[in-house]
Amino acid sequence: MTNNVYILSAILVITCVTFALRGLLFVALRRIADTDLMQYLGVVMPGGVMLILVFYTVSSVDFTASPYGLPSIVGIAVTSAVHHWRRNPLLAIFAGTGVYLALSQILG
Amino acid sequence: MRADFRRALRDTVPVAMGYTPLGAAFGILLVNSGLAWYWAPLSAGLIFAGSMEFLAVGLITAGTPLLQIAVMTLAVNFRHVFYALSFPMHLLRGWGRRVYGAFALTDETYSLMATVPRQEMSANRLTFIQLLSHAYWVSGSAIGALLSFALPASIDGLGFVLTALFVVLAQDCFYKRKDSAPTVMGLAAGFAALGFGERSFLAVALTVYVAMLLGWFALRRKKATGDVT
Repeated sequence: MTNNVYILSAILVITCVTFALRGLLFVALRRIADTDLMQYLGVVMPGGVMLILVFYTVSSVDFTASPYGLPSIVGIAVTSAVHHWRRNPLLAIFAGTGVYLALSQILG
Repeated sequence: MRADFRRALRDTVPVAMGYTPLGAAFGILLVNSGLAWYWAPLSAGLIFAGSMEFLAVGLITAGTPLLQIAVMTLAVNFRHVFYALSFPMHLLRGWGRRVYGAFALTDETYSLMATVPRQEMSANRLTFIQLLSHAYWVSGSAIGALLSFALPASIDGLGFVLTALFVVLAQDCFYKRKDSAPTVMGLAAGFAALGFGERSFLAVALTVYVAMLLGWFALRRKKATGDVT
């Protein structure tokens, strides 16, 4: 059982860091944000971070044993394809998750 | 005031359609991971940053050290620093409203702000947009958490919602920028870090990725100045 003090501390840590990031430029000099490097990181960084998080969320999947991570791989492909087709995040997430759950049932 | 509220209500319809089901999915995931239901609305209300909250469930149930959680939040939410540049803070008067304005500056409220013409935005409309979005997210997560008691035993594999969410977000970044460099570097960093095992995956992947970005930036700058002279 995870204890409540730890859970609350973890939530507060995330709250504080997120708030600090969102509020930084209202308090600190805007000059920091105007440097080329910061502008570049701000625009470019999210794309790769999101991809890395895709990897992270499937890092506990065993790709060496049956079903070889097939539900995850197909689920990701379906999500991506549906989103590319309809540009509708919610539809894509539900379609991908549905296919993933179905395949896990059938193959698992 | 009433007119502003009505306008904000209309502005936030797409946010409601996204936040409520996604919040519900978050609530269901949280309860299925073994945490008490009330942590769903509590963390939704305090953190108010969707993707990080989904990640937090896994981090908390794994007992991740707080410092590591802080670093991860920094990386995942770094983009929020730049939202401040286009947020009409000057409209808001008084400390409380300004602090809340910065606190509730999420991806969704930020993109909403970008679609409403500047001269039509008022202080009240702005605050109502943020308050309503916050309310949708918190109630969505509470509904999901409570709903999970009515659902069959446990839904294994619901965590895939998070994977799908990040796929969609990564794709949107790509469409917006039309630059394949971050995609390629993110993939490379991800594959490279896989070899280091589940525990240190994120730290290795993010370090490698940022290093690549810095290298790419230095290279482009060198090329740019080289072209000029």
